[in-house]
Amino acid sequence: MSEPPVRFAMGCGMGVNWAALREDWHKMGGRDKDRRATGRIETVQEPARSQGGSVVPLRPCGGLGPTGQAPASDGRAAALIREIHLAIERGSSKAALEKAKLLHKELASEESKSVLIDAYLARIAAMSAKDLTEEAKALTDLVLSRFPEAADRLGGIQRNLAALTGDMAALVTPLADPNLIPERRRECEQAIRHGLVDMQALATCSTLPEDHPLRTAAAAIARAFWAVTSAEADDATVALPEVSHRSPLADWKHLIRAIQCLYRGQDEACRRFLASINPDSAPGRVADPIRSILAESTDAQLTQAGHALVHRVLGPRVELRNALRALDAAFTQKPSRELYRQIRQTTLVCERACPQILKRLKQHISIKTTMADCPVEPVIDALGGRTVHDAYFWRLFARAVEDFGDLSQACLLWDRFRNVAIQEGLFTAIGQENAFLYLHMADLLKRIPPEHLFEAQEDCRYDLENLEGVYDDREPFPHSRRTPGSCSELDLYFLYPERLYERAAALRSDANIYKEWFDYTKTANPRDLKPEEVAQKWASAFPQDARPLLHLAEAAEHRSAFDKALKFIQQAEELGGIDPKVRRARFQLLVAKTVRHLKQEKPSLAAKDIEQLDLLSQAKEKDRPAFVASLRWIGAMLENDRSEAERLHGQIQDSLDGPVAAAMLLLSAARQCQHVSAETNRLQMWLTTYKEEDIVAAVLRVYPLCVDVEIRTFLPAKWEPLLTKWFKRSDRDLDAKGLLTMAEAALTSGWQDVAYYASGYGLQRSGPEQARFLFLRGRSLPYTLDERRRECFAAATELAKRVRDTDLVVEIADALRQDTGTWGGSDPFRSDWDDLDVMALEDKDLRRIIEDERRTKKCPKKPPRRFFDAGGSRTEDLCQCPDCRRARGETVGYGTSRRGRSRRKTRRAPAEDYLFDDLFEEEEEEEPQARAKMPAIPPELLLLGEIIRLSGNKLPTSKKDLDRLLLQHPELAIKVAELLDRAQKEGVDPFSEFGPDDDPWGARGEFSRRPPGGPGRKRR
Amino acid sequence: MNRTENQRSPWSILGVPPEADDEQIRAAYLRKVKEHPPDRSAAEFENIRDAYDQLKDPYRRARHLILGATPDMPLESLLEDAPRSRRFIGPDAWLATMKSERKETQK
Repeated sequence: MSEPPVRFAMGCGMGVNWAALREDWHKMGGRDKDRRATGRIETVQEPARSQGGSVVPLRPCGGLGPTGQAPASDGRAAALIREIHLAIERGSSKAALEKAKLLHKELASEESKSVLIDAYLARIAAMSAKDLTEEAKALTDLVLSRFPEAADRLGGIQRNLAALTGDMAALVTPLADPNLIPERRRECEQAIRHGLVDMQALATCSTLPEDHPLRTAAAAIARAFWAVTSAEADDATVALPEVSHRSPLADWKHLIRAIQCLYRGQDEACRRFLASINPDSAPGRVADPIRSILAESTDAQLTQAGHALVHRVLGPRVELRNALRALDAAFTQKPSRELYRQIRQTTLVCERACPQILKRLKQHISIKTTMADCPVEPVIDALGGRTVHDAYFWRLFARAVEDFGDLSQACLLWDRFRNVAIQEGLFTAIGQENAFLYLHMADLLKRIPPEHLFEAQEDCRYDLENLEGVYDDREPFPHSRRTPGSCSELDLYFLYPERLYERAAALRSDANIYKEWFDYTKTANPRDLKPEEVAQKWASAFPQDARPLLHLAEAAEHRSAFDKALKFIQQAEELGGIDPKVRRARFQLLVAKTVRHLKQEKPSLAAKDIEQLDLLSQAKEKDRPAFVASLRWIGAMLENDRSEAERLHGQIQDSLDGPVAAAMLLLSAARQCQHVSAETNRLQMWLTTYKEEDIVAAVLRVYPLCVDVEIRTFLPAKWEPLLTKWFKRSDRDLDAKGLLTMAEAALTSGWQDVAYYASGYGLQRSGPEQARFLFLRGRSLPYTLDERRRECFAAATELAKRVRDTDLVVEIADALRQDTGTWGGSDPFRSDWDDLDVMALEDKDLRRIIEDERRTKKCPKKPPRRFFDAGGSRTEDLCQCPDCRRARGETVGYGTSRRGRSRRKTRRAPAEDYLFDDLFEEEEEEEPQARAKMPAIPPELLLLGEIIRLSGNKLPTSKKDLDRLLLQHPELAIKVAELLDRAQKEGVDPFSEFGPDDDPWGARGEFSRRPPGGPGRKRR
Repeated sequence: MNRTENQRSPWSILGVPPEADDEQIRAAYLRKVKEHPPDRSAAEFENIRDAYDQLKDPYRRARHLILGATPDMPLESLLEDAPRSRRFIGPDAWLATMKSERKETQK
């Protein structure tokens, strides 16, 4: 440790603060102006500004007479005194001293002496401030020799100057006196605390006894400070038991420990020690530089020496950090030569300052420039070579491409990462990391619309070739499964979600993987495996899980393999009989079985099923006995057992408290069982004779029952105008639940007016159901009011989120998907969840929408029905299975889950903003236009497609085939009939281009109700 | 705790390479906990514990390994995982800073 001159700084509580001293003078002039005017000077002990402060300025205190005025004879002297103090205030200490000398020479009074001492004090302060410490000390000694009575006032300054000139003796000698008064001792210790920098000088100060605690402490601190700043110091070195916490040197102890932690990398502990250092002490003056070192920043207000300290400790790391910041800023600008210059400079600095991160830095720069579409050569030049293509690089690249939105490419890169990572030993081929990666890739692929995924699978080979040129063409793109000489042998498993799930399931024992796999196969209909097969694998892998058994039962039920389905349900019941889904499954299966037998007009078999149904406790819940009775009624009708049918009818009437509800239920069940008879026609005619109140009561009773047993509710078309008028008048005291039920029931039959009025009454009421009413209002609006409809959905979503109604949020998402899929503005790239995110509303917008909807009581006019917008556009009337929806041109299996949302718009690569602005603008501008231009698929084509699909991907070649087809699929027959009806009403003949002999299916004759001869087929 | 400490990867907090297996991770965790006991450096201990929580489960570790790196992160954050190099420069620069700061205060 070098030995700098022993210096002390001491004074007004904060070291020798000459500026503060001058300030005191200024304040003094203001406060005691009148007293100074008298020329009388008195000594005032200024209270210390901080602990142990020892400022003792003299205050001129005028010799006021009883009146407080200076004597008239001393007028000139008083003026001179004022001038002296003004000069001191202005900082002209030299001029003040000259005048004070003159004054004292003339007056030679106590007052003039005091003024002279004031002037001397100011002069000494000024000299010290200019580093003229020797001169200041000499002047102080001179003043003390001439005016010993001023020793008290000059004591503090004398000690300061002693410290500055290295006169340690003058500073610490008083401490050797055992009789030193406590006040003076505090002053001395304060001076040491604030001013002492050179511990070695204090340790060797001879004026203190050798075993004086201050000397031993200073010696220990000097050793420890040298040790801790020169090399890694152990705990024993910095323990410093010699320094008590009451010692004026205690702050040094904290500083030494802070520096030790700093070099050990214990930043938090370092900050804690820094916080315990008195900021006014000498060690406190390096606290800010240490904090700058911790933050690796030189932004703080430091002195030149402080900056130098930070730079010397951190080395060029600070420069590297600054360069990295500059490069980050450059990446936000358009690529230019400046960017390449920054890259080159940063690379060089990194090589010098922190070579450990050079490889990573180059890889990050490489990816950033790739995504910014920078030319290759300048980047390689700036980087000083090519980047290393290790697992880290591929992972980074895959993430970047994923964020960009090119999901199939991202999967390809993830596969590349997987291979390299396994080669590098980052994880094993059978590790959990691999399973996670497979699931992540599958998750990405699920976001791609199926048709685009197919294209991606086809184009993959081309993409592989493309990627070989990414900044490193030294090595070819060594796809692991590329068989030499045969590109066709590529295993593109990474582009097939079902294969990814299969691999993940093999690596990780997790039933949720099977569930995701099953859900995917169910919605996306992949080529490899059917949902049932996945469920089978699921059940094999997790024999204790009831869920796959239910799925298997459902699949078997669809195949009409009821016994097999029942076996699965039995197994599921053994595993999880408490699960409501399991408990309900048997009931649903038996209902389906009964309906099936009734459809096949096999009442005896249906009776057996109903007997089994009767044994179930679930069949006795709510209004289900009435439904079971309705099935039994159809059986009786099929057997022509009139008396039994009447008995059952009466029983149902009793159960449902009314004939209308009973008739509704019977007709609903009959339609489900495709049972048509004179009795059903009679019931249908008879239903139209009832009043609105009875109808509403029946709907409120039967609709929930039909929803419960999963059949469609029969609502006669003639009820629509009745209910519309009825709701138009008032809400008839229906509660919120009743309004919701009525509106839902109306929407299932396409009665949007009824739903509109019902939702309007619901909106007038506040409560948690408001979100549902808004959703209903949106659904009740015609397609021409698309914007208003979406506003309602947005408001409903916002309200649903606030009341945590996640089911409703999912329903809205489904509705949005149907909107985009079935209406004119089909956009396969837009996911429903994206829409929900975009539709986030502020409070004021939410209030506005609700108020608008409340005010708008009049139902909007229905748009004129276009021929293309025939009944088929009502999604409620259409089959919603994936096959049918795909045949109608709807998007299936895309964006149905939260995880399926595309992040293209929300997570852009940084450079994307400027590179792809045009692209996105173009997309955003073109989107509505494209939607407007895109016509809906004509329903005839949809029907044709459906007919072809149902007849085994071929056209029915004869009328007999078509008859058989329509008999097997009565829903299809109804659609054809409705279409022809509508065409007839609107004067459009869809077969006008055909001659009489060109109607190979005989559709006109069969369904247009204009049979050329003979009765038409009974319309179901 | 400052921003930089938050950005450190769990591997760098525990001082193990990304390919470290379960045993290595546990050993590193115990070593670090001894270095930073909770009574002396609570925040650092918390960081270590969080890092260990993230790495001890292979599946969570996989998540971190695969999704941890973000291409759009600031380049400056690369420094956080780099070993810190603070140079020993002896006492003179420190003492000079104390003296110069004192003069600044006086002025």
